[in-house]
Amino acid sequence: MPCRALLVSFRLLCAGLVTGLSLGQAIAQAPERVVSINLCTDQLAMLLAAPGQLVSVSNLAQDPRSSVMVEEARAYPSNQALAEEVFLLKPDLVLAGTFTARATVSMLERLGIPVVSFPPTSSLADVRQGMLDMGAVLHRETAAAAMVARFDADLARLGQAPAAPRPTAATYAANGYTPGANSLSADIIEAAGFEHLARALGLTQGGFVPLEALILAAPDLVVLGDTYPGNSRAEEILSHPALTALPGGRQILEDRDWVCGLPVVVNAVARMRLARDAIGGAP
Amino acid sequence: MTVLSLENLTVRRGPCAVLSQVSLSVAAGECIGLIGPNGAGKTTLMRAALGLMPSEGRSSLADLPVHARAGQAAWLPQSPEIAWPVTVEHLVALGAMARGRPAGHPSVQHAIDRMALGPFRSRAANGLSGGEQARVLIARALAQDTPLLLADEPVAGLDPAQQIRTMRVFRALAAEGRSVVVSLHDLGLAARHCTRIIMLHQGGVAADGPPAQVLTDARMAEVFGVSLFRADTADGPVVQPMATVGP
Amino acid sequence: MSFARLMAGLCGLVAGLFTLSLVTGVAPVGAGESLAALVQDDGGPLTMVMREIRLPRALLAVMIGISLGLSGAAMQGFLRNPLAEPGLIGVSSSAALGAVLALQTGFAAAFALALPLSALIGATAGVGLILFLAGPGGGAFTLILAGIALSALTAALTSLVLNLSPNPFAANEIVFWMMGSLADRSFDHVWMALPVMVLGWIALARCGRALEALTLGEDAAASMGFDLARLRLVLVGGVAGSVGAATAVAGAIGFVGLVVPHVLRPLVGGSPSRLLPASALGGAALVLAADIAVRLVLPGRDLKLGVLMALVGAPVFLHLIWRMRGQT
Repeated sequence: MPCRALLVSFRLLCAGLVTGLSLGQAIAQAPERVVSINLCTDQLAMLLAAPGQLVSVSNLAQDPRSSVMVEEARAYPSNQALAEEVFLLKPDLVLAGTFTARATVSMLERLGIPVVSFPPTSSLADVRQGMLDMGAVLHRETAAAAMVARFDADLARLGQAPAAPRPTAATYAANGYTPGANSLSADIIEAAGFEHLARALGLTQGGFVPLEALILAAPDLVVLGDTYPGNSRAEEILSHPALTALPGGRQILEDRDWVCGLPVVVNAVARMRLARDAIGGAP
Repeated sequence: MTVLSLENLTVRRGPCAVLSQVSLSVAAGECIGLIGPNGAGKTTLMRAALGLMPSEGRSSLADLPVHARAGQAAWLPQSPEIAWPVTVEHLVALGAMARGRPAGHPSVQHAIDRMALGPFRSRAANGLSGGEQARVLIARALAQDTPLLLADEPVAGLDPAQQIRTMRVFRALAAEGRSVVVSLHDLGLAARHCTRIIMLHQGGVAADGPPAQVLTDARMAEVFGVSLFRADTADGPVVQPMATVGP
Repeated sequence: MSFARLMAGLCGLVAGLFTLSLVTGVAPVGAGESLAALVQDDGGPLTMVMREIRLPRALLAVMIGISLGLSGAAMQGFLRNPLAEPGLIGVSSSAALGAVLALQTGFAAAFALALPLSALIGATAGVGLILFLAGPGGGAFTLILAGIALSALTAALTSLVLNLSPNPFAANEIVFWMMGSLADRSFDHVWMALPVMVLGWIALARCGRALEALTLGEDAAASMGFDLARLRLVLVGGVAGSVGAATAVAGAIGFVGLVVPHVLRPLVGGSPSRLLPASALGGAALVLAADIAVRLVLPGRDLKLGVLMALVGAPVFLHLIWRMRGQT
């Protein structure tokens, strides 16, 4: 029994190697059964895939707190992002994130299924590139290019943000976490015409900002995410009296538009632009 | 035949010598009582002889490789420890296991009979009374079937009848050609059952010889600080400390 | 109960649970069909699922259960304490630290087995440190102290990594890895863990006689011809190898090494040497049962194996302690 398993594994291993080596050629044909197991690739794939090309998306795509395409996601069978389920869907391509469970991605590759991993978006440029990359992977380059063009046009329609002086804005999330200057949130805020506090504080990567530092910096706007139902100690800091007393005010603006690098990011920029216009120039 | 020989055995704890230059030898067929006041070094002497603690000087037992020591001497420590609820039979059989013998080896049954543990053999050892447990542990040492048995205060927790029976077992072992070294506080038992008494005092040997020779009034006063009542009976000498002497 | 009957019963239990584990999964097929696909290559995906996904998972559950049960019994025998468990010598937390560092730095994504390998390196470093801290000699007390120190140190470092983590995704992945899981483990994991584990099992199995002698205490055991310093070395090496490899592959799974020997001890008449193989099988049965349960209890949510084990293990342990209270 173990001998047979060993032989089978060995054969599979060789098959996997061969598949891996010819991945270039294999990808030369358009994938016909695509399964996505990551929230962001779910939505991007739903936007770009040809009819019938996308076979399943992860169950996270149906979570209204983090997905902007809940209704569309319901039209697809959902998966739990585990190898057995995905494998039985007989995909010829799987879309994952770079932080999807290693074991699952390795298992799928071991079973001979090509997996393409997309990193999390960390800038507006990444959003454009993500759309182009997804288009290339799905062999839907034209659709992707059109989407990028629409995205650029929508951004342009918002107009250039008024130049200096720029009011400061900070994003603040549970546990005092703020995404750094090199993040999608920072790009959205800056495209809207704010100075991102993280850049002023010299935080390139995200990290913990003590509430004191935030208050002392007195940003003109604090952007908070929508809290999850139920209480969490981590989120208590978001309703701290010092924060609510900030003269600049705080707004719950951050929501599912900010999570993934999708075209709807434009809506986020638009809302931030409105907020910026409401504030006017820096005092 | 010498079963144990110690040459200038010394044990230090920090700057002081707990045991100092002890030399003695134990021949086959001896039942030796090791006596001395608290802190004289009785336990230290036996443990150092067994190689259980670092020491200077020579011990013929400690010179043996670790795995060979079990065949030469059995050790019965003072504080009884029975970690698990094993049966009496299982525990006694550990003695045979130490010699690489199976649990059914005759030495195990022999030891159980000798210590009158027949009725208890299937009971959990740590469910017995203190005295019964002590007998079980002695039986384990007997089951090890060694030329030498070292026991640290083995009769302290036993009732008078068991004390006498146990000392008789030790004496019988000696008569069979084995050797026994027991440390004890009961001088009477030592006098009645031991062929030789070694008296320790402040880490050294104060006296070494037959009981009558060692247990003199002068020595008792000097080493133990007590005066004795003596008597001779049909069952052996009575030696009972009655009063303290000196400061 | 005679020992032979107990072992036969445990073997049967493990075999039954192993089969049950093989037929548990999302594929909408019956048990008979699944097992047939395992044995006979039906050329379809079901055989692949059975051989590549479910079989290694079930095998790993057995291997991990054996490692944890055997290590727990050995630790309890050596320390003469029914509350001892393999985590006491800090191996699982050192392995966790190795894995956490790999996840944080992104090394885990370098190649397929990078993560378990990092955990194994962590475990090895932990073992070296604990042997250094505990010093020469065979004392149990110094070993426990060194183990506590090492566990505290590695737990602190792991918290530090999480604390300073700039990446919430990495932090999330770390936390989930540490909860313990066997999902989607492959034969790569099996072959990586097995040699190390087998060496550990052999080392621990050889401790049987010495552990029996230790029933009488360290002094008596030393006089009975057992080298306690060497025993301690072999024991630590055995626990490190088996538990280190188990943690490397599956994350932190607790309670097995504590509860299984405890429960089985009355059934082996308290004998430490018989408890070793019995706990190995008992551990395998427990981990298999838990791994089946995580797939059945909340199939929609990803319930972690370590979490379920703790949820089940803690009340069992409390019950045992409660019963002990009544007896003393």
